[in-house]
Amino acid sequence: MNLKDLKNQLERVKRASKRRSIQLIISLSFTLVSIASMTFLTFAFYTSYINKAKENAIEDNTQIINQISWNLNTYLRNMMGISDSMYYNVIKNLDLTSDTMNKEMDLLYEANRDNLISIACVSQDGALISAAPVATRKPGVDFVDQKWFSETENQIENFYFSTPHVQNMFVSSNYRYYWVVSLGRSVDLNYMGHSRKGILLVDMNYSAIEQMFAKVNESGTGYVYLIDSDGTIIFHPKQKAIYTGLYDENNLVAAEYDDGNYIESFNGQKRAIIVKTVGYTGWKIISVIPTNEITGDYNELNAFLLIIITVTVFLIVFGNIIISKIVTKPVRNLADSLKSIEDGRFNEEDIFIGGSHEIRHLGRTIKSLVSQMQKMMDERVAEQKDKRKSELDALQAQINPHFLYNTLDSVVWMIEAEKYPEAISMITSLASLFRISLSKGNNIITIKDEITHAKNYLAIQKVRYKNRFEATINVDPAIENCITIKLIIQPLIENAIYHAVGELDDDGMIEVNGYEKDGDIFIEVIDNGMGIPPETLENLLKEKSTSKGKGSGIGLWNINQRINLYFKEDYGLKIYSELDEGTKAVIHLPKMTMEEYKGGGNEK
Amino acid sequence: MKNKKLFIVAVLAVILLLAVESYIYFNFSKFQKSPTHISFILTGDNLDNWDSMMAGAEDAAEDENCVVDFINCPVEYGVSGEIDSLNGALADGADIILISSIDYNAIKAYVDENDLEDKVFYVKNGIFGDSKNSVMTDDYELGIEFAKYITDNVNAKRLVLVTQTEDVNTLSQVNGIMENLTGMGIEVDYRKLSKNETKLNQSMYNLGQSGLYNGYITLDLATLTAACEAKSKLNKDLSIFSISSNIEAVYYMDAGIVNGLLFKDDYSMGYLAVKKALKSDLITADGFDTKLYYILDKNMIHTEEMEKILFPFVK
Repeated sequence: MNLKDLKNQLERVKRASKRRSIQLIISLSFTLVSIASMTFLTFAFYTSYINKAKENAIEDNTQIINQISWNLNTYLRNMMGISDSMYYNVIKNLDLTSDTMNKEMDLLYEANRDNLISIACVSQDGALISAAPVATRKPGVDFVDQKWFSETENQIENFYFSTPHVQNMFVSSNYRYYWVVSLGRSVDLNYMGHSRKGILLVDMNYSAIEQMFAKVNESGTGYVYLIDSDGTIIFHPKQKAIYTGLYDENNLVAAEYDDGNYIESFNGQKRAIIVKTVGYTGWKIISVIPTNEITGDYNELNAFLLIIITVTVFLIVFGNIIISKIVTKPVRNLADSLKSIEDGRFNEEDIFIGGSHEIRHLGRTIKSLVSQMQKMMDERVAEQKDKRKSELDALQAQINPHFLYNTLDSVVWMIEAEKYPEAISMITSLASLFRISLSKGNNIITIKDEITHAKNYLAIQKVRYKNRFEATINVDPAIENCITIKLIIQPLIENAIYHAVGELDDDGMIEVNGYEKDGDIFIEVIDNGMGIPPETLENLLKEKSTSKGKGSGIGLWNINQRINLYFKEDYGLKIYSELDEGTKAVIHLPKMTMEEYKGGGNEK
Repeated sequence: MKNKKLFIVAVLAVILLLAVESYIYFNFSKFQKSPTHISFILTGDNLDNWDSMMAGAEDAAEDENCVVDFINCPVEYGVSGEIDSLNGALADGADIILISSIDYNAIKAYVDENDLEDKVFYVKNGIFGDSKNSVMTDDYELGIEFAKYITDNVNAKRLVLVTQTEDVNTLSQVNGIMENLTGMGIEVDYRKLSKNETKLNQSMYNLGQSGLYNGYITLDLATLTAACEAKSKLNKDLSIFSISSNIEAVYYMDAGIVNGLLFKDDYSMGYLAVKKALKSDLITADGFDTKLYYILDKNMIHTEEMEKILFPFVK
């Protein structure tokens, strides 16, 4: 497609867009506005709903985190209480050279055995002073090399909480290994008043923490995990998968978060994060809610909204089509009325008046305009009619001098030839001729008068031409009362005489026939003269601006033109001629009586 | 008249639309994708030995719209028991079957014969690379690597390689170890021992006290246990190297009885099997070892990294 075609296409679209109907514009505009509003409202509602749901999910998880934080705090406080109790109530008051702490340690252990794996007291050089439950120290294991030992030594004033690890102190039975979180504290050991440093180790049962979190993770949205202040994972529902590298967690970044809510993107997933720090330990409970899990719960809502939207859109489209159709009906009716005016039917009764006030007003205004236009057009037609009459009169004025000149020429010739009776007869006929010609100023006369006129004329001409031709007139009496324009037969007879039979010796023949055919009237003037050459015949009925004397054809044109002006161009004069055979002039007129004509039938 | 027709069409269309959409809405749950049902057939007399693998499979299933159930097939039922379990699982509507078979060749022949290749995944036991639907270690390569480790960590000149079973995995391991140890100047003899516990213990004791060998290489838990017992009874400096994925093997090593352990990572195999069966995206961390096994000595057991892999969290 070249640029020109493209332009044409654009132009076509532009034109088509201009032709759009008012109904289309209304229904389209209403539909667009309605759908836009509905989309906006739905979007606003949906966004608000989803945000609220997210807030609720975050709120729920915040509560869960607070609860688990409280539980964990209680648990850790309890563990610290055990440590405090052991230290302040037992170790501080004990001289290790004379007493043991085994009994008190056992009691404490037994009282808390669900949450504890062991309690142990170790000297600063790694010797085991006491442990509960009673166990054999694992051969080859040096406590000093263990992480909890060195870390506790570094935090003399504080508790040390380790990350989960497998307890590696005592000989286990039945292949049993315990995951523990070690709570270590530096203690002063009394040896006969001499104080030496030692470590009191409470190994908490990791399964207690694990169960605490596992319970939370069984239900609800997302999951909760626990890290220490460095981001090392203490508990995670996918702990093992993380350790083996099969799963990844954003724990190192989470360690940097302060308490509060965050949105983070991790491994291409958007997640809502809630952080809560556990007192004493610096551990952080992290709640993770993948945002797609929040919105995933609303698939049913989405389906419901989709149903509502599609039905509503459907209703809007159909509703708008129907409403716009009803609203625009009066306008379309009015447009149809205007179309009939455009087609030329000026009937003010056809103008639609109805519908709303504005459309009724418009209809009445158009009706008034049509009425005024009709009036103006009638006036214009009347003016045209007058003008046409003036033109006819002017044409008539061209005929009369022509005929008069010829007749008087004949009379002059008779008088010169001293043929006074013939001259008298001719002048009498001329007088009769003029009487009909005048016709009280009417241009329309009956066929009967026109024939009489023709007979008078023939009488004059027969005298003049010494009866060198014969003339017969056969007119159907049924058409005698019908009208004709006056002086249209006589010029044809005149032409037949001057250009045909007048030049023959004595066998000239003129025949005038009048009859009705197919509801119209035909009057023929036939001669048996020499005929008219085709090239002349072709131009006979064409307009001539000036008369060029005898045979110029101005008479024939006048006849044809007068008939056309009076009775439209369906009617008129036709000339048929064959060389050496003769000529036939045929006048075609509407069949109309004088009464019909006067009644307005001239427009036939 | 025209408006009336249009109105009727509109009403009918809305009713039709409402009917269709209501049907969809009220049957919404039916249109949602139902969870994939995976049956995991584990052959063995003690399901506890599969704890790690089951934990891995369950952890992997948690992320997916998937349900995993475990079917324990006793050893005495053999491969026919596995086939019955497989058919039973399929009849119960399992979409995918994961299987750790005791006779890979037989179960694979059955699967191929019944055009079940797309539904059955082989886990841990089988011929590495034999099926695209498999998650297992390359036992031959594993044997080669373990042979190198033994060579580097033992002064023994003559070892006995013992096993109780001769499945495809074990034979691959035997080949890998034998071929490479011989090449490194260590003589190694292969012995398949009795499944009878008394006979096994006696054989192991006799091998130890014969003075022919400086140590054992065991390829299953039964021979490892027997070797440890023999070492204890003989009170001789016998080296023990073992391939296993049981906590008992870790215990023997922790107790200083076992010198070297090749530990198969059952947890990862279970995890990967489910992920692979579901064709899920797997985002692994940088440290993930695709070999699915670790070679350990005593000093490595209680390192921070190995503790998390070797010891199950809570029993």
